[in-house]
Amino acid sequence: MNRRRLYSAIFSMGVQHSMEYRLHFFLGLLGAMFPILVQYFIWTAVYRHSGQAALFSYSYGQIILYTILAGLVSKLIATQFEQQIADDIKNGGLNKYLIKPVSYFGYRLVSFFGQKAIYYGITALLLGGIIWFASARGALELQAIRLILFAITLWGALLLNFLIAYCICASAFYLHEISYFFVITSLLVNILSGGMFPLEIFGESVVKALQFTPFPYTIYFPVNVLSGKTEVAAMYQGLLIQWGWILLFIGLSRLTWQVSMKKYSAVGG
Amino acid sequence: MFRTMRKYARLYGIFIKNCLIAQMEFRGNFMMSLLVESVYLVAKLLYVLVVFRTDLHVDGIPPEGLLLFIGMHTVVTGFYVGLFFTNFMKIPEYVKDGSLDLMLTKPVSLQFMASLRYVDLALPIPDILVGLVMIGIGWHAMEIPLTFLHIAGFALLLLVSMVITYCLMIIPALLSFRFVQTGAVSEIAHSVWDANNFPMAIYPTWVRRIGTFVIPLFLITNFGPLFLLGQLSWLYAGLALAGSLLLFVAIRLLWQRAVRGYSSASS
Repeated sequence: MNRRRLYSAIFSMGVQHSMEYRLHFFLGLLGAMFPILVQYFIWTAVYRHSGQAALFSYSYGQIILYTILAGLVSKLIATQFEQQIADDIKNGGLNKYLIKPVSYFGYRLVSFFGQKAIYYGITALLLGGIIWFASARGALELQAIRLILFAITLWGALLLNFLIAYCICASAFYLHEISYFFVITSLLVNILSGGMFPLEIFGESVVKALQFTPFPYTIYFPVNVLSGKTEVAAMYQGLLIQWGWILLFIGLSRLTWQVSMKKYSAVGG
Repeated sequence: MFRTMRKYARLYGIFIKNCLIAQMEFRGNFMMSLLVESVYLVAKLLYVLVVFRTDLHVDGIPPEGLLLFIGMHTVVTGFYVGLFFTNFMKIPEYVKDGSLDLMLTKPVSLQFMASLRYVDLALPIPDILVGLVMIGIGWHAMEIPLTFLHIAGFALLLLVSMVITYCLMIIPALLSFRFVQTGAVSEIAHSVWDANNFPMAIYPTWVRRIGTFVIPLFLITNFGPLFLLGQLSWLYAGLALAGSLLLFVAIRLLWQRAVRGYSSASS
């Protein structure tokens, strides 16, 4: 089987896997709406009481738009494969990938994109509706270049988040019970990426410090590209930095897995 | 009646002791549970950060007063994750793999065994500690007198909150008697749960009505602090108690109905 056919089969398996429990899938989407609604009511109360036009440099419209977009993007880029990789390492499931002419990294990456494909399509539809509504209400100034860059940075965010999670998964070679560790890291990464609140709530110095980490480039940056908060020059600069982080994490993931693989003892499988 | 209650109290004590022994056997996991819940707590504290950084007032209640509500939510979350969460997550597994069969044969209430067997002693520690500190700060800042009546009323409403929490959060587990995958319903229930960490006054009237009379979620976090702030009379506290007991009876009937439809899957 040539590589193209192999990976398109893996991609197709990922798509099928995501649609295995369709009701579960759509209820998951519905579940993502509740935190957004809660934050909508909180921010509405905050702005109503403060009487100020902008808080943390966001107008009311911008913060609501940020809340909705960040909620959708964080759901879109969520990985959820960490436990499967940890099980493969712990129970010997990794063996079959080591002896077959397929890269484990390639398998996981293409399968991840396959699992996200339908979600990406649905999110695109939802985003279309939100963008149209926000621009009709004057909360968003629609610019073609921002839409294009948002689509590019969103794919970049998906890839970067995958790579961060894949690097973290290498710790399963060293730790016996790791499910807790994944819960902690995914929640912390989400907070530092701006998935819960805009990073500005932590203060200016924290925002500046976080710019030197990959986290803002997974949620905070793509959302602000679309919402218009990021200046035009900063958009291109941010895009370059995002892809710089992606390249760095590709190297880092290869390195961590090569080093960690030496610890692997292929038990079971 | 008294003898039965004593028997169940003794049995519950044995469950707690058994869970403590099991958890102490794997102390690393105990510490990790503490750490996981602490990180969730940090995420919740971000809301406190927003409240104080924006000087949010809700219905005239200043940020310090809002700590009473967020603290109450945190304390009840602690009790929920400690006493109920593990059990409610296990019920769908019991139904799926047929391990409920063995429980059916035991000379105690099936609902008691399935929904209260496990107690996690690590998860609630950060929530209850930090929640009580927040309540303490709010209590002091709002100059609420520390009298027996205030403490008794608050304790009663905390008990009401726990009964309502049990009744509402067991519903996704009850659905597992009918559906295979109930994970997403649990996820929605937890998202709705998080909607409760602010006073219900931030929500529009129709949401408040649903959250009070249809799914009495807002009673969990709001009634205790409102009582302390003098915005809830003893009459309403009594009504909340009666309402929670009625809800418990309804859940008991629902449980019995769900079990009647149970067909052993395996074993």
